[in-house]
Amino acid sequence: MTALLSMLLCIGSNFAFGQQKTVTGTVKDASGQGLPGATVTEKGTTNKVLTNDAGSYSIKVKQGSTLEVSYIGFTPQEVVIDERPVISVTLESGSSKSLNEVVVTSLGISKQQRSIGYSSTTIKTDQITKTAPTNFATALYGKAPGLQIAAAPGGSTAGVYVQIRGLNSINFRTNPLIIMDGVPIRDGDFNSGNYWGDGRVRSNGIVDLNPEDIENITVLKGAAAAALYGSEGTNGVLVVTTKKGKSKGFSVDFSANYFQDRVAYLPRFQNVRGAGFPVPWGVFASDENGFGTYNLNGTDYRTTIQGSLNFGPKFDGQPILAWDGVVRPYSAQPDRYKALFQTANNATQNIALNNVTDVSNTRIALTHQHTEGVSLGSRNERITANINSTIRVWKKYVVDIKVNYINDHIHNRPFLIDRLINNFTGMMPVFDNGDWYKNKYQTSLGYKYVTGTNQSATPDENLKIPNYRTDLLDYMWNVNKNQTDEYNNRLITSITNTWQILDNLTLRGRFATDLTFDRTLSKSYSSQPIAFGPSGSYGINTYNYNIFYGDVLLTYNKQITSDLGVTVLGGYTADKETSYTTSLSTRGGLSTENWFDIKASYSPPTFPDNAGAVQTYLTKDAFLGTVNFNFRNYLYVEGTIRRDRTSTMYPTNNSFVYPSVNGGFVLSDAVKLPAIITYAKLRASWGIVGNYPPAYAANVAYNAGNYGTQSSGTNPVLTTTTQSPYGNNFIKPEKKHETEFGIEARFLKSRIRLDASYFTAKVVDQILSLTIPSSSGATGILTNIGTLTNKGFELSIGGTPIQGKNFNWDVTLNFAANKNRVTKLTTGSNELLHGDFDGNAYQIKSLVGRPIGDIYSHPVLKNDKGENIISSDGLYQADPDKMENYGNVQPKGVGGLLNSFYYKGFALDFNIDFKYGGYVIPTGLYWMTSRGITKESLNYMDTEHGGMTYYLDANTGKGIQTTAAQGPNGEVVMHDGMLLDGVTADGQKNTNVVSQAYYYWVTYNWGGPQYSPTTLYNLYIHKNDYVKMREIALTYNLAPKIAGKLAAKNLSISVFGRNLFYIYRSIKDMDAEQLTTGNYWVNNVNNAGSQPATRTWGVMLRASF
Amino acid sequence: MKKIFLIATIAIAAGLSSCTKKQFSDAYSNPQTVNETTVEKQFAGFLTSNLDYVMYKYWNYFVILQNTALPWSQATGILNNPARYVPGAAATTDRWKNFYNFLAQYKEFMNLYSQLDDAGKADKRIYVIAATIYFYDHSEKVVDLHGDIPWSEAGLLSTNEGNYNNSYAKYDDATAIYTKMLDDLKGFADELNSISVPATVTSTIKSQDFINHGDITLWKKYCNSLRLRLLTRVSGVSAFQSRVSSEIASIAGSASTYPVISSNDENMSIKVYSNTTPINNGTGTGANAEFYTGLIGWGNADIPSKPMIDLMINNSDPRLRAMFQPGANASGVYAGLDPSLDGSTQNTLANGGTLSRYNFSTISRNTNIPGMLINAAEVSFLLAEYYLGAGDDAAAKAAYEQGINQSIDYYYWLRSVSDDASQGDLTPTTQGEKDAYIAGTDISWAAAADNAAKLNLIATQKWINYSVLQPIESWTEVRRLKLPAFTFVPDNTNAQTLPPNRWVYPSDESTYNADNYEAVKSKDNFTTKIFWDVK
Repeated sequence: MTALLSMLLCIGSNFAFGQQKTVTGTVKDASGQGLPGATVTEKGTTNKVLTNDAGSYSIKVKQGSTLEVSYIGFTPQEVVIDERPVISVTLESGSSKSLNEVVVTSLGISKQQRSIGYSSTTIKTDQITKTAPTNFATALYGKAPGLQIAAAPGGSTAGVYVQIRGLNSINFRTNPLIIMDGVPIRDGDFNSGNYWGDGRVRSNGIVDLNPEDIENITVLKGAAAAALYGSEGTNGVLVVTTKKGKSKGFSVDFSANYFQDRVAYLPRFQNVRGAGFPVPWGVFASDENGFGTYNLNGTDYRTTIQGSLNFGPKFDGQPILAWDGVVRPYSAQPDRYKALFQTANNATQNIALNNVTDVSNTRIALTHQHTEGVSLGSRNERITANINSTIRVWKKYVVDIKVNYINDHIHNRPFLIDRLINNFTGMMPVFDNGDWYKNKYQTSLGYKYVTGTNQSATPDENLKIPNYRTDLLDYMWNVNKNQTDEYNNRLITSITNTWQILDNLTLRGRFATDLTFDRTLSKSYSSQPIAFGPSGSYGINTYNYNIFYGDVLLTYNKQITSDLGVTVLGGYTADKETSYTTSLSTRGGLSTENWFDIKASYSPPTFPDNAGAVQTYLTKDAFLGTVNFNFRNYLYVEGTIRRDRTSTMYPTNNSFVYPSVNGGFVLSDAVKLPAIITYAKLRASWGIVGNYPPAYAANVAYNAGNYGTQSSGTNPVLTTTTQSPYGNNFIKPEKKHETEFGIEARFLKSRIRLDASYFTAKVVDQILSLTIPSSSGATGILTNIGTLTNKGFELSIGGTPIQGKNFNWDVTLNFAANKNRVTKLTTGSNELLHGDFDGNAYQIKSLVGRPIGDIYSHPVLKNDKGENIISSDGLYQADPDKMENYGNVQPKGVGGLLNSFYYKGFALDFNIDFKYGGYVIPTGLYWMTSRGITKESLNYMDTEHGGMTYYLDANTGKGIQTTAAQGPNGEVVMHDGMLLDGVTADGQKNTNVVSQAYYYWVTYNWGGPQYSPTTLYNLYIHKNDYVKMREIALTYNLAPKIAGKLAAKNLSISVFGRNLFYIYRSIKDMDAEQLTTGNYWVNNVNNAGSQPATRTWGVMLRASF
Repeated sequence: MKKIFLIATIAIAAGLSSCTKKQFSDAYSNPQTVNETTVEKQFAGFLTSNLDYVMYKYWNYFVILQNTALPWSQATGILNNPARYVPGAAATTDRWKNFYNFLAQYKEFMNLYSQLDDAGKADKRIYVIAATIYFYDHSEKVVDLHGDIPWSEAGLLSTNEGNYNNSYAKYDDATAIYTKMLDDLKGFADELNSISVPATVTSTIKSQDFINHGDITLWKKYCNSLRLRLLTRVSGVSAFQSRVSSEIASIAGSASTYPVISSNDENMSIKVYSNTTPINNGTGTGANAEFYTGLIGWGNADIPSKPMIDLMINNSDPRLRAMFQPGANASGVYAGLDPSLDGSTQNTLANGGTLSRYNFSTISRNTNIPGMLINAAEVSFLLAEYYLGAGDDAAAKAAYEQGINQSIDYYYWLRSVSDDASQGDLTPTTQGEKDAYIAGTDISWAAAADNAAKLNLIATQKWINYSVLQPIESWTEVRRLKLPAFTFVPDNTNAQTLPPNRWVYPSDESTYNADNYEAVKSKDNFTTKIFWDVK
C-alpha cells in the first residue's frame, strides 16, 4: 500500500519552471474602493497572494500565465498577463456562484448547469463541513428545496432519514439512491424502534461517508433527472462527488475539530411532588400523608410508596428513606436523568495531501474521528482513508482511481431508552436519581441487582425499600454489562478508463466495488453466581455485503450545422450485490462467569437458535441510451431510455423500460431581455422511473426445517411450511411518471437569484404488502395495487442584500411544498392499515383521496345532542365504535433560511430550517403525563393551579364541590378537583368532581377502549411544526501575514453549534426529530424511545499549506 | 492493435460480460427456501407449527396464559390488578395468528395430498388421519375460546395459488365444527381398525410423525380419547345428547374396538427426545428455563391459589410435595395466594416469600416435561363423569379413583425425568399414601352426599390434574361445569368485572376479514357463552 501511494505521488512530481516576472496592482470594487484580503492566484498553480489593506498586491508569475482574482461575494475574474507591469482589477459584486457551473448528473456525467432541463441542487463542501457534522446528510437540512432530512437521535452511529419530493412509495424504500463518483453504494435500512428485536440504535450506510472528503453533493429530484437509474430512481438520487487535488503543485489541507453533544429537549418535567396518589382515593396503601414506612436497622423511616404514579405528597425537604437505603431530604431531583447519560466528546482530524501536475491529479486524505454517543460508554473510533487520482496515461487515455476505506470500532452502540419512555414501570419518578441506579444496578460482587427475598449471593444488598424501578435498574445493567464491539470495514473503490478514440468519440469503462466486512462481538456479563445457574452470554456475528458494479459508455458528438450539435450515448451497466451474515452464540449461559468465548457455552450451541448463516443475492443490469441536441447554446433537448432487469422479480417478468425527455431554454441568451434580468432559463421535463421490490419478497416458496431425530432408530424430522407473508410471482416494479417545469433567473447583476420548479408525479403499481386476515392462510401478500400522486413546487430565492468592502450579507430561502394523495388502493377497499396500536387505541392508515398516513383515534363519546357523555367515575370516554382522522403524518412544507455574513476576516453563518404540517403521536410523552411526571400533570393540582375544592362522598364515592373545611360525614376536603363538561348517561349535567390526578392518570393511560374506556388517545395527536436554529458557525480567517508566519496559506478558526434552539416548535416536550427511528416513514410517527436528542457546540481549525 | 488492446482493457476493467438469464433466475429464489415439497415434509411442518403453544414456552405463558386461563382457573393465585378479566390484545392475537398459521399448514398438507394419484392417496391415507386428529384437537381449543371461527374455508391462500380475493374465510358455526369433528373422528376410529399401511410409508412416517412414530394403536387411542373429551364437552347440549350417550357408551364398552388412553405409558404428548433439537421447552435452564420465566410473569405469578393448596394440605395430597415447594421464608409450610384479598395486600404477601411456588424441579424448571395433549388421568375423569351420569356409580368410582392414582403417578414421573435438581430428592409416594388420600374427607367418593357432590369431586381432581400444564382445557372445563366453584373479586375499574365467558376475536378479523366478521359481530363480546356452556 505504501509503495502504491508513493508511486502515485511520484507520477506528478515534475514541476515546470518558466521565466518569471513581477506583477503589481490593486483589486477594487465597483465604487473604486480597494478590497483587502482578495486572493490573486496564478492559474493552475498554488502560487497565490492576498491583497493588503489598501487592496494592493504583488506577485511573481510566469510570463503568459493567467491571474485569477477572487473575493468572497464577488464574481471572480481572470486576467491574462501581458506586458503590463501594473494590472488593476475591478471585481463585479454578485454571487460567487457562476453562471457556467458544471453539474454532475447520472452515471457521473458532468453537464453544464445551463443545459439541463430538470431541477437539481448542488451543495458544496464549505456548506457541508462548516459545523463538522459526522455525516454529510445532516449537513443538508434546508439546503436543497424538496429535500427532507431527519436524523435519528443517537449520535454519529444513528441513521438518517432522507426523502426527496414527498413519499413515492407506501410500503417500500423511500430513501434516495446514493451515487458516489458515478457508482451506486450501499445505503440500506435501519430501524432503531424495535426494542425487543434489537435494543440498540442502528444506522444506514449513508453515515459512513466522510464529509471532509466530499467536494459537492447534487440532488437529482425528478424522474427525468434520475431516469437513467430506471427501477432505482423513484426516490431521487444523491450524487456525491469526492474531492480532487485543486491547484497545481503540492499542497496540504488540514482540519481539526472538537465538539460536545449534550442531552437536550427533554420533556418538561415537574419538580413539585413525588410518588403516590391523593390519599382519599385509596389507590396506594399509605399513611394519611401519602407516605409508606420502612424499618431499617430498628428505626422506622418514612418512604414513598412503591408505584409509578407521581401524584403524591409535595416535596417538603424533610428526611425520607430513599430506595437505595440513604436518608435524604424529600426534595425534587431536577437533574435526575443526568447520570443515565454522558456528555459525548467528539474530535476529528483530517489531513489531505494534494499533488497536481500536467498528467496527474492526486489527493490522499486520512481522517480520524473519535465520536461518542450520549448513551453511557458508547463510542466510535473511525479511520477514513481516501485516495482520488486521475492519471493521463497517454494523451487520449485517462484513468481515474478512487479508493475510500472506512474502519470503525464501535463500542456499545447507544442502547435504546424505550423502557424509560414507553413503559410505565421504567419512567423515573420525580424523587429518584440516575446516580442511585448507578450505584445499585449491580451488587458489590458485580452481579445483577436482586429484589425482595429472591436468591442472592449478597442477600443484605437486596433491594427492598420502595420505590425502586426495576426497568431502570435493568437499563443500567444492560447499558453497562451487555457490551458490544463492532469492527466494521468498508472499502469503496472504482477505476474508470476513458479513451478518446476520436475527437468526437469517447469510450468509458468503469468497475467499482463497495465491500463491507463487519464483525460484532457481544458480551453479556454473568448476572448471578454460577452456583445459582449459568448466566451471561457471548456471541459473534459477521456481516459481509458486496456490491460489484460495472458500466461501459460510448459517447459520440457531432456539430451537425453551426447552430446544431448532437451528442449520442449508448451504454450498459451491471450490478451484483451479495450479502452474507453468520452468527454464533453461547447457549444456556456461560460455563465460567464472564468468560467470553464460544467455548464458554454452557450447552452446545444449536442451529438455528445459536447459529445462523444467511445469504442474499441481487443482480441488476441495464442497457441505456441518450441523445442530446444543442441549438445555438441556448436551447437544449435531451432524450433518454433505459431497459433494465432486476432479479427480485420473476425471471420471465423482470424487464422494464424507462424513458425520459427534458429541455432547457436559456431565454436571456435567445432574446434581448431588460437589463435588470441577468440570466433567465426555462426548464421542462418528463420521465418514468421505478422502484423494485426487495430481494425475495416476491418469491413464492416453502420454508424448510430440520427438527432433528426424535426417536432412536429414526431419521431427522424434515419439514416444510408455507410462507407468511405470501409472495407474488407476478409482481412488477412501482412506476413513477413525472412532469416538471422550472425557471432559473438572476436579476440585478446576480444580486438576486431565483430557482423555481413545479412538478406533478403519478406513481402507479404500488407494491403493497397487503394485510390479509391470518384466517385466510397468511398475514399478508405482495400486490401491485395502489396509485398515488405527488404535486408540489420548490422555490429557492437568494441574494446579496448588503454588499460592501467590509461587510457582506448573503441569504437564501429554500422552500418546498408537496401534496401527496393516494388515488387507488385495493379493488375491494379504499383504505390500507399500516398499524393498529395499543389495542385499537389508534391506527395509522392510508385512504383513497388522502395523503399517505392518517392517524385515526377514538373521539369522545357523545350523545345525540352532541354533549359529552361522562362516565360513572366522572371522566370523558372514548367512543369505542368510532374512529376519526386527527391528522396526516406528512409535512406540508419543508425549507431552510441560510445566512452568511462577512465582516473583514470574520464570517458568520446561521442556518435555520423549518417544517410544518405533519402530525405525530408521541405516545410515551403522554404516558409520562399519565404517571404525573410532566409539568402538564400539575394543572389543577391545588387552588393556585386552578383546582376545585371538593370531598369524596363517603357513601357514593362521588366528588362533591364544597366550601366547607370537611364533608358532612367528616370527609377530607381536597383542592385538586376537576369538573368535566358533559352529561351522565341518563342526560343529567355532570356534577362529579374528580381529582386531577385521577383525570391525568386515566385520560393518558395506555390502551384502546376495550382496556381503558376513559383514555383519550386523540389528545396525543399533534402537529409537529418547527423552526429550528440548525447551525451557527463563526469563523475567523487569519490575516495572510499571520497565517504566513505559521507557514500556512490559509488559516481559519471557528466556533460552531448544531441543533441549537427552537425559534418555534408546536410540541414543546420533545425535539421535532425525536420520533425518527427508521427509514420507512411509518417508523417515524410514534416512538420517542430510541435516544434523547442532543445539542452540539464545538470549535474547528482549518489550514492549508 | 493499440485500439483493440485498449477496448479489451476497458471491457476487462469494467468487469463486464452481460448478465445471463440464469443469473437472474438463480438470484430470484431465496437460498433459504425450497420451491417444492412432499406430503411427508408438509405433514411434519404442520405438526411443528404450533409447538410454541404445546410445549411449555415463555411467550405462551407470559403473554397469554398468565393473564387469562391460569388465574381464571385459579391454577395460580389471581393478582387483583386492574383489567385482570380482559384477555389482552396480544394474548388473543398471538394465539389466533399461531393457530391460523398452523391451520394453513394443515390445509396446504391436504392440498398436496389431493394432488397425489389414487394409489398414492391410498398409501398415504394414514398421514391424513393422523394430521386431522391433531388438527381437531387444537381446533377444539380455539372453538372453546372464541365460539364460531373461520375454519372449513380458512387457510386456503396457498391452495388458491395466492388468489387472496378468494381466500377470505367465512365463519363456521361452533356447533357445526364440533359436529364435523365428531363425525370425522368416529370415521377415523373405525377406519384405523382396518387400515393397511405399506412398508414404504411405515418407514418414513416412523420418523416424520414425532408424536406416535406411526403407531396406529396409539393414534386410535388418541382419536378415541379425543372423542371422549369432545363428547363430554357437548354432553349438556340437547341436540348432541343422544349421540353423546351412544358414542361414549360404545367407547366405554368396547376397549378393543375403540381403545382409549388407559395408562400413563400411553399419554398423548409431545416428548422432549433431545434438548438440542427444536422440539423442546426452550434452551434456557434453571432460572432461565422458558416455562419458569413465563410462569412467574412479572415476579409472582407462579404462586398457586389458596383453594388448591388448602385442599391438598387438608387431605394430605401426595402431589403437594411433588407439584409445589414452600416459599423461601415459609419454614417448609405450604400456602397459596388468597384470591379474595386486595391487590396491594396480595403483593406484600407474595413479596414476603411465605407463599408456595409451583415446584421448580417437577414443573417449571423441568425442561424435559412433555407437551401434554391428553393423558390417562383426564380420560379416567371423563369416563367417571360419563358413568356418573349413566347411573353406574361403581364404575364411576373406579374411574375416579383410577384417575387420581394416574394423576399422582404422573406428577411423580415428571419429577423422575427432570433435569432440575434444585429442590433435592422427592420423597417417593406409596400406594398406601395414595389410598389414604383417596379415602380422605374431601376426596372420598363414598363420603360425597349426592351426584352433584360427586361431580364436584371429579371436576376438582381434573382441575388439580390440569394445574398449570393444560390451562386452556382447565378453564374450559371450569366454564362448562362451574366446578370447582370459585369466587373472584370483582374488578370495578373495568367494564369486565369478572372472568369473561369467552375471548373476543382479535382486531385482525374485524379489520381485515370485515365482511365475514359482520356475521359474528353481534356475538363478539365477553358475555356470549360458547354453545356447550349451558349450566
